[in-house]
Amino acid sequence: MAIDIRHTDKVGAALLVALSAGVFVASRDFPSGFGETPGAAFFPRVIAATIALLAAVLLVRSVVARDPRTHSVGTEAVVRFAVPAGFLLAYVLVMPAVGFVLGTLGFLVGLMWYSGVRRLRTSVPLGVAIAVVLHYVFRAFLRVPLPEGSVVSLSEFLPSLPLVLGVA
Amino acid sequence: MSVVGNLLQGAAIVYQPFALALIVAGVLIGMTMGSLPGMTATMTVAVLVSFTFGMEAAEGMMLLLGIYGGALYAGSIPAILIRTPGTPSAAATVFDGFPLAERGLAGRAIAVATVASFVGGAVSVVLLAALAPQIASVAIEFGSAEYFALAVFGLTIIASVSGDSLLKGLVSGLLGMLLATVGLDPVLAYPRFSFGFEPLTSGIQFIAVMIGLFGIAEGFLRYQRGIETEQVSQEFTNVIPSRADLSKIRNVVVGSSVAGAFIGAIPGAGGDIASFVTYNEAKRWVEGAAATFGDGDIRGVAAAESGNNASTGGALIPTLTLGIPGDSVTAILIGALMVHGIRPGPGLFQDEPELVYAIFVGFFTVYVVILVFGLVGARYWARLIDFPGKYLWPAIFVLSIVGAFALRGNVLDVWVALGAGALGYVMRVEDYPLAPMVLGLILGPIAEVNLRRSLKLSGGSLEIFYSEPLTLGIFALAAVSLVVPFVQAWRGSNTESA
Repeated sequence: MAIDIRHTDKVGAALLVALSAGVFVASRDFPSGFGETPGAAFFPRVIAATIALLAAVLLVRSVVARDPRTHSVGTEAVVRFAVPAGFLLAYVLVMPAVGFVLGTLGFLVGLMWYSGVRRLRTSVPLGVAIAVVLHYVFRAFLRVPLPEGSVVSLSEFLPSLPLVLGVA
Repeated sequence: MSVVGNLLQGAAIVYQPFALALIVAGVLIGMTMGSLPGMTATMTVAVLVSFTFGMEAAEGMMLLLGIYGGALYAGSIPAILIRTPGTPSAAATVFDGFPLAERGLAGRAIAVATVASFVGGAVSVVLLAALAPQIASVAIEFGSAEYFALAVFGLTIIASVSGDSLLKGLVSGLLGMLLATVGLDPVLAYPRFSFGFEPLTSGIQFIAVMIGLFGIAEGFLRYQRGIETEQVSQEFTNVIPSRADLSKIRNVVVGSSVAGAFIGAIPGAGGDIASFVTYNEAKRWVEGAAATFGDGDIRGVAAAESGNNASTGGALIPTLTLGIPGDSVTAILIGALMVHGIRPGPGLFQDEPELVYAIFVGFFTVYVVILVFGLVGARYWARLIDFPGKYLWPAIFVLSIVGAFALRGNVLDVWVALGAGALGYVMRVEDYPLAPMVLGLILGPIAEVNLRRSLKLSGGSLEIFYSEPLTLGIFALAAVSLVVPFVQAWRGSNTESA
């Protein structure tokens, strides 16, 4: 089943005008500059005003064209967007609790399953390999530690790199 | 130090085992990703830039330049074999590359593309090394008024890179400029739009935005449209160009290489624009091309490929000398250098000459590696075209999240990347181009700081912007670059209605 979402161009233009108004409201307390030089609000307000102007032109053009921009959105298309987005959101939300290695493994196995890799014998080793390699590359070689889990942390059980490769 | 001395110093940095290994790794990664239809050089560099944070700046550049050149070259392989450009820069390669493949001459087309890419890239690096120090020596004298004028000029380029909708392109650029105002005000150090949330006072990391716009948003679109890949039926063997072919493409390659480098040097005009322009110009000027281009003429492949790879060295000219990105990839290179506390611009040539010359030598080496891997391994890259998206896209999402986190070890940057991914997805669906947003993100702060500094110096008088011929000249260029696309669009619509 497909739903037609009409006037998306007008909605977009209206949102841009609202954003511009929001910038003016949020910058009302910004300090002014010294003497005749502009203050902290000057530049964002110039940008916001220009966005509002261009959005108004887009809106007028859309009204004059009398041909509302319409997106036909099918259930399948929504699911195809929502599932990866949901996986990604869950991945980022869960990672602080379970850490990078376990979080990445779960994300990869889950999203690969949705993407068509139904054999766990393929997806699990691949997920483990990617998570562990990235853990070592970032932690040891690039000196950028990835998140440790506050509840569960698999990385604690991984040997430090000198044991694995002899690299400090 | 003399130019030769600087080049030797640069070579001493590049010709170390680790730096060379990074070049080779970068080219391999770039060629792998470029061979996969739809994987852009920008996306690959954005997703993998975090791997350079723990390296020395010069080493990180070697990896990123390898990816940049490798991806741009390898985009030609699927363009020739399955009529789908691996990167947008290879779109013009399809016109003659695919007809050659249909006649069973895929190997010949790839050989020509490889040689043309090498010559284009190498010529552009030589031009870069010759011109950049001269431009930097002039630009070092620039004051805040000239810099403001340059930033405005850079921003007006948005009009020419906005595709079908100039208005939407301008909105996209302005949104980028607005995003860049989040954080401490650059003059008064007052927190703007942080809403009391302390981590936001240090601003939005534009690399996180780039990861979202080019990595995550692309992933969302791919999943929505289907991640299935096209199968390659074409087998080919001979990828060494014949002497006759080399002789036939010689003039086209040289001309397109020089033209491509100069087009690439225009801020915002990347490989895609360069390849279309050089292809069209070759079609106009080369004898007999009007009749044969589009039907499998190897000179068409050569013009497009030398043009797009030449744009890479050209794009580095404004990037290194003025701090203004030549295209989306060089915008990320600016971000990668800033992570190391290095700000590209004319001062770079005085403060870090060894880094600058290492970039020249390293990028030339990248193209030598591309030539070797392209001629030796084209058959293997061709096999990657149908690599299943069901494995690839989950991994790209992971790299995007890790890349954003690694910027500062901060979850905020991950949320910024996710937000930018959602924004980029909506913008793509609504036909808002993303490249202008990148220009806005980088040039917005330069414009703001120099505008306010200039006004402070002049006591609020606007005279500072028109009292010097140079400033006035740059503003005139900005006006021309803003008006020309509107005039072209207006003429186009008049012609259609006539």
